[in-house]
Amino acid sequence: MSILYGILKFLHWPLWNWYLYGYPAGLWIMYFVDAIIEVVLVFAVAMLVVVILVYVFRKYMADIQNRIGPNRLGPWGSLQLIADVFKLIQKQDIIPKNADRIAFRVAPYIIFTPVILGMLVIPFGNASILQLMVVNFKYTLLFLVAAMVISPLGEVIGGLSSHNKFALYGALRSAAQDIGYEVPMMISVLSLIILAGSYSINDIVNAQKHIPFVIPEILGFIVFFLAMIAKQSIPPFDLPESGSELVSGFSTEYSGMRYGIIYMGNFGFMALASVVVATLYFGGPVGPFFNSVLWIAVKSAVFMIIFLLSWIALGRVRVDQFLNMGWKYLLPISILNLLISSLIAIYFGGAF
Amino acid sequence: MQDERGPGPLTGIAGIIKGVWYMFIQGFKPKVTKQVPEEKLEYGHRTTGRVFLNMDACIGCTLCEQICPNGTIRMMTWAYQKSPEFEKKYPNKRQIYPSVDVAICTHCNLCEEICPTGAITLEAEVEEWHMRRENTRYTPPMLNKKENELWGENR
Amino acid sequence: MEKVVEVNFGPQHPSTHGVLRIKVKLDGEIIVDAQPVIGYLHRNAEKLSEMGLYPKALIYMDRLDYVAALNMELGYILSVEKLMDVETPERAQWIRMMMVELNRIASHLVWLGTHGLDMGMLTPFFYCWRERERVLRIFDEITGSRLLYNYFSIGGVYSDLTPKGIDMIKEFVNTFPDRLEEIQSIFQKSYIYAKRTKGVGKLTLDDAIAYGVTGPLLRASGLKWDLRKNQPYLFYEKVNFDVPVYTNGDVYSRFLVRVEEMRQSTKIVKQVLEKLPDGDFYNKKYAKPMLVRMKGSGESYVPTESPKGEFGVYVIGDGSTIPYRVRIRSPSFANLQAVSIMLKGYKIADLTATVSSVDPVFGEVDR
Repeated sequence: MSILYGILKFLHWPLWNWYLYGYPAGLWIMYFVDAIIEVVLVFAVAMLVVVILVYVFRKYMADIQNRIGPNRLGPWGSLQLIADVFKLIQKQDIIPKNADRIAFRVAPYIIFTPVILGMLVIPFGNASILQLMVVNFKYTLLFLVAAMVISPLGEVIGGLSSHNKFALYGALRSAAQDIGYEVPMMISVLSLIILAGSYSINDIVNAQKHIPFVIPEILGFIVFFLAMIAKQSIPPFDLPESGSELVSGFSTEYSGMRYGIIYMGNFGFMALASVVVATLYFGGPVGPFFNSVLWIAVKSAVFMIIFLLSWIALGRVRVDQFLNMGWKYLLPISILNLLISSLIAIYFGGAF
Repeated sequence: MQDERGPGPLTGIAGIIKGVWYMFIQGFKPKVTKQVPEEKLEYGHRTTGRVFLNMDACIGCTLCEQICPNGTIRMMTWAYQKSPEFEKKYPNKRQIYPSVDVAICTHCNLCEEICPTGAITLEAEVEEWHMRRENTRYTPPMLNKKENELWGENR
Repeated sequence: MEKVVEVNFGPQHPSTHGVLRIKVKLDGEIIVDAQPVIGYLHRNAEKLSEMGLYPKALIYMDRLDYVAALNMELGYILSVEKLMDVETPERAQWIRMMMVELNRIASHLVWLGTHGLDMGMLTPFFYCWRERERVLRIFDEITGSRLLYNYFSIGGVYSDLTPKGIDMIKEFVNTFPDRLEEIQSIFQKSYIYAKRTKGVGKLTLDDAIAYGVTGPLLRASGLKWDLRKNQPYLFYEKVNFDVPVYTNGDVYSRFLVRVEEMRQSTKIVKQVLEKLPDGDFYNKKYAKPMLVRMKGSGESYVPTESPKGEFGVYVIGDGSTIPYRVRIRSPSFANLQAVSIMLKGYKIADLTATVSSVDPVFGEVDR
């Protein structure tokens, strides 16, 4: 993506020769338009990945359960998602009478936004001479973690603003779950920063040229993996939207296309989480013989299958056992991991 | 008997991974569902479906009306001329025959069990669907025909 | 400011096994009080049975516990046969035993699938349904229907076994225990399931006897009481099988009891297939026109062991062809009363686990 930026800078295309206090304003407008184009392209790619992931999920779940999945619309049932979207759009929009109208409407979009924000900062590697990374500055890792924290906030707002007791319980469980699993996740990310020596994801990826980070930090990988499953709210940790206990958790009162946006946000977050784990711990686009975008596709596909298997095959844990595990077991393990990686950093002298 | 204490932490987590592996293997086995309506199952030869009446053999004894549990069968007078050998063997002096409301019938087989001549039977005709809500009480001649002859292929 | 919130888990809920309404008082996530409210599926089976002849009431008995329909018919038929002193031939009794045990396997498979669904597992549901499909095809071959049969009649059974049916039963009995072992190991060895169900919904033996609880709940609490061994009715003393008993009384023990019962039922079906004698399959005196002229007088009650507990029908006849009083003793009605003491002090997530381990079927609770 920064080749677009490079072309513009080389060609110096001002829209009009208008100098404001001595700076070329036309060039700034061109850079602004270029940024918008790149964000829209990332949005389109993210949507495409979500659509493919929903199709793979339905067919794979049917495969494991020994049945045929959707196979009526389109060749091998590939247009089923479009038919579902049409069905959801034509439904009546119901908002409960005593609900908080503004917060109720805003909440699904809060769940959906971190998907795009996260995809902006991940380096997807090089495809021939093109460097596929939208933004690169010194602190991209902090930006990524901050974007992933926003998503559970949407669940809490949505649950609290519908005037319903089941939604209230779902929202409170979501708040407890996210607070409990934030801290171990950030401590394991901190040990990555110590090993690589900088806050930028590009540097972390380049530091894994010789050895992927999963080997010196196996404990940190386990903690981060479990925390990622907890953040996405998929089974075995899907307490905010427990399918059969509370009727549908925080999304009880959402119907029609609003529910469709929450659903797509869940899948988008699953795609983002698998890409993040593949990048931070397994090297991303860096491979043994050559660096290309093919490596990151293969690694994140493997992690997507692992997350889908965990959804299909495992049951649900109870709330107090779940928080028990987070505070009493994961937090000491992540602190131990931090100590180990600081020892490694001191012994090998500085960054990798 | 089995152990009532259940698995501890280590064997339990190994059990979780073994369960997930078993389900992953199941993904490669052949599927057990069929695509309806292109492929159909065959019915067993004793499948109970809709009520069929053989008007030549009915003698009008009203035993089926007495035994039917929810009042589905009611007798109707119907003028029907039987051929001479059936008239001698199964006379029906009062000219009454059963009429069945197929929307209420529960296919319980009691009328087939009690009929002394075997005139009323249940055949494997299970596709009783209509596009419009027609009159569902079938008169005695209608009970002799299959659904395709009565309403055509397209309903 | 009050701390206790009252929540209504209403009649329409994804996991209450039917139309059950529970009024729950919650303090945070801890249940303080739970009251079940029933009556949403009342269909008047007793009054309708008293308006017709004796064979007519059989179709109402079918629809009480629609998952295990042949057990319901057996309870009614044994009471009426004792009332009228009807003799049934031997072959009919052996066939009845085999069909009842096959239906017990089907009913426990339904319970296992929906129990996994309540815990959040989506796939064992489909595996259990795949096994149950084979049992239903056996029933379709022999009796003509898959779910509601009307196969037993006063004096025997309605039609005989076919050779193709016997082959299907043999094939089922030889391959079912391996599949059951695999499905059982998904639940039993998993740490998530064990932590979720051990120590949950405890029912002590004194409470169980005081509330009149029968069936797998009583056997999981420690008392060895099975009507097939203590008061045997068909030829149950001529086959050998075990009765599983555990002592803890929580949800995990009830799961173990029901899975073990499925294995013992397979053992019984195998033995009946070997011992089946030849002969008539119904008593010729009680067929065709006699169906509308049967008279009975006196009263009788024969308790049988259905998959949910003790089931029996109390029949009073006054000398005419129409029964005077038909009273149904359903096991789920008594078991459901113990839910309110099983839930005190536990959390919301335990509510679905406990109600699904009682295994109520609402056709039988509301009659």
